[in-house]
Amino acid sequence: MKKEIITGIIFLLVFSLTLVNTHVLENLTTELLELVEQSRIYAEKGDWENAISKALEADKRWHSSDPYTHIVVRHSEIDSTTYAFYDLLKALYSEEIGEARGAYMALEEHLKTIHHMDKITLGSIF
Amino acid sequence: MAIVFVRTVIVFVVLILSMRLMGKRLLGELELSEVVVAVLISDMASHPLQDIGVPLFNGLLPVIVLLCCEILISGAIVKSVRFRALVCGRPSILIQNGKIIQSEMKRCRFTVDELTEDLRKQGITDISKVKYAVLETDGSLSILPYATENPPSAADLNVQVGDFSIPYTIISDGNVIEHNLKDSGHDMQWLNSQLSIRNINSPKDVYYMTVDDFERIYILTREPEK
Repeated sequence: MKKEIITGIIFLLVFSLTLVNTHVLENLTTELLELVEQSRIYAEKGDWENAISKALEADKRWHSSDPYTHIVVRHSEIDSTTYAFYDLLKALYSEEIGEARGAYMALEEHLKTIHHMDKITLGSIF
Repeated sequence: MAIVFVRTVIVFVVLILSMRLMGKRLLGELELSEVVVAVLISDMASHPLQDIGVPLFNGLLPVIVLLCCEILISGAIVKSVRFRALVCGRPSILIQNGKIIQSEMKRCRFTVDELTEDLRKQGITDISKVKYAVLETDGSLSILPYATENPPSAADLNVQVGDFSIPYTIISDGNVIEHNLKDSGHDMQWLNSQLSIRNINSPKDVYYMTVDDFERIYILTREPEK
């Protein structure tokens, strides 16, 4: 019985950790999406300096989470998101609003996908 | 490449630990839940080995979850007869008093060919000599012939035979198994005296040695190296 109780605790603990992981990823992507949104507002106003600053801040935050994301997120998703950051920065440095709008959309989609992939919904389960 | 190497070692260790924790049953005849776990684990664990883009944790997590499920289900099976019947099913009597129970055969989707094959494997060619044939929950067929068809035992023949005991392995390939030596009620002094009686200098010169509860000793010395 002792073995079963310990296993039951481990079972619940593992499930709790998966929920914590989903929450951590949600917080991370929400934080990044907010920074990207702030960058977009500056870019729309033509304030390229602040737009780049916010985008770099988001990029730095993204890279600082590497040790965690590499354990829990598919590496292909991490690479796609990193490239999306570089594409956005490229568009911002070249001060091309049209290109930047597309890069913002691509980056936002990548960030949302990272969270949605791990979120428990009927769609993601089935 | 180094990643694949390290991952393979980690997955191997985790699988060995998992199988060990699941117990000996998984290594022998499998119940339904154990078959499910064995099939799933082998597939799940291989994915992160083949694709280094998949986090290793994605392969290990299902193994841990399956291990927990298996231990919990095994525990519930031991505790509850109803749950056991639900998960493992019940044994089915396919032959009773020399007659095949056709409804049970149909229910178990067991063909006459399979039945006769299993009977032949146990040396029975005549169904009418079988009192019971039971299809066990692990899929094996237990065949119980009529008492008159069973070979007589020593007790039936009133023959006096010596009892037996399981021998303790005392030396295996030159190594003294100390806990077996202790369990058999002996010590190193006894062992050394037994070896010297047989002109053996050291346990290293013995390939295999056993002793049973009746002090019957079996010793096989090492073959000289060529």
